[in-house]
Amino acid sequence: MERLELLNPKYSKFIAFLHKKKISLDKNAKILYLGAAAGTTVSLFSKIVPNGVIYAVEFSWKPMRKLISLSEDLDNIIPLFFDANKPDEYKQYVELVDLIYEDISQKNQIEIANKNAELFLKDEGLLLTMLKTKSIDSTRNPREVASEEVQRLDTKFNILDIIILNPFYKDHTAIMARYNHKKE
Amino acid sequence: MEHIIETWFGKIKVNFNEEDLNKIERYVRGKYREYAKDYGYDNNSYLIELKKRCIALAKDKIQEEAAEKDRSIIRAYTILKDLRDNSNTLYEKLLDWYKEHFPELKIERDRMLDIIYRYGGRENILNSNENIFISDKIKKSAENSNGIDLSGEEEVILKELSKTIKHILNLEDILNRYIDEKIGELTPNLSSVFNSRLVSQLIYQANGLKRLAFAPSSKIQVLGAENALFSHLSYGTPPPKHGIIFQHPYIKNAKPKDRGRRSRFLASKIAILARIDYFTGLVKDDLIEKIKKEINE
Repeated sequence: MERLELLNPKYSKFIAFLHKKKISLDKNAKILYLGAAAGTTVSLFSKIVPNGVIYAVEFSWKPMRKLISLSEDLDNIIPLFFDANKPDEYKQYVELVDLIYEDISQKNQIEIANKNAELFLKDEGLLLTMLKTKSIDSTRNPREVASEEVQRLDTKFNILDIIILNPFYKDHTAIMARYNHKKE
Repeated sequence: MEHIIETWFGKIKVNFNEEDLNKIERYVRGKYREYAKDYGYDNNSYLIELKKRCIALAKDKIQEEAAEKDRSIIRAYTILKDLRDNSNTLYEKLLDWYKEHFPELKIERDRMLDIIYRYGGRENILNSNENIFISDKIKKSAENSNGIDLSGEEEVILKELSKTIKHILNLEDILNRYIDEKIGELTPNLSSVFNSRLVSQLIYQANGLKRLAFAPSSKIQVLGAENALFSHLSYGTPPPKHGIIFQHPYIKNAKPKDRGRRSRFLASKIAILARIDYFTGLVKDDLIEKIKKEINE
């Protein structure tokens, strides 16, 4: 994990995040990755959790092709060609995971995180979502938008940190939260 | 109580004193690998088999999506759009330059390109014997022209530029013919009422015939007016009355107060025809005639 910080933060939002905040992941961790795209960040996670598994969900067929060829090389990546907005469709393939990493520039990004956490996130699991404030409201201040969006997170989430990824990614805000499934 | 839960490796039976199926599923999901042992998957083979399944599933779906006929139409349309923009601006720039040299020459685009490509400077026009291309009028104005002189280098540039523009226009023709043909095959009903340019634009904006067929007519009505629509939804500006369908003369030539009503009507007809095209692909002559008549009235 320490050496990852030496990489260029513009390479991936996750590295930009690591520049601002240190987190540790178990080598056996299971990760659900929503919005995997062509798999740049997925391949990083694959190195971080060599004994774990990454369920990479992507709904666009062009990047999915690249993701499939990547998953043929790296053992612990499972490509899932599904809409992250409809977790019911892929619930039979995914186990409970330790981390949900979300990087989909959608307007209802937070709702998607809620839905997926309800089905797949372990108790005490971690949610890390890269909120693209521009795709929610492009005219307002990102800080304002992010603090409003955080309110929409499920009450079962304990918000740990809100980090603006300036200057590496201007429109993105990282939200880190811990999940408590038993809480009503 | 006994429940049956579906997983990728098979249906498993579980016993719980619990009513809420979601909770049970969640519990089982945490122990997929343990349950999978009964089906002969250990920790290693679990992942290998799961990956095999998921890749096969994804490949199938990719095949399906990539093979859809309208993809090639959308591709051709986006290329055509770029080419059109480029050929227009390039032609303007060519004229801008050439008119410094020969401001009196005022002819239509295709002939203009031909003449610049063939002859270049004024002198060559004067010296030519080909009466088909150069009329006496042009010769006369070339003689009395008050434009500046063109250097040899500049002449080469302008000649090559006009050649390039001619090539682009030629490619546009090819693409247009391709789109016409494919649109006719894909949407026999829609394209017999509306011209292929409008139809291809609709399919491009909706991102495929499937989406166009599933779209409500209110969406089709404002397709292509997304900016206006979203500014209406967010800030309450007046809603857009029409998007791409404005191009149709039925709306374009109407009085402003009729346009909203007419675009609603037209959008509903497009929705009907798109659905017939997507789901059956059969030509409904009587319906086409009826709609054409209604539009022309």
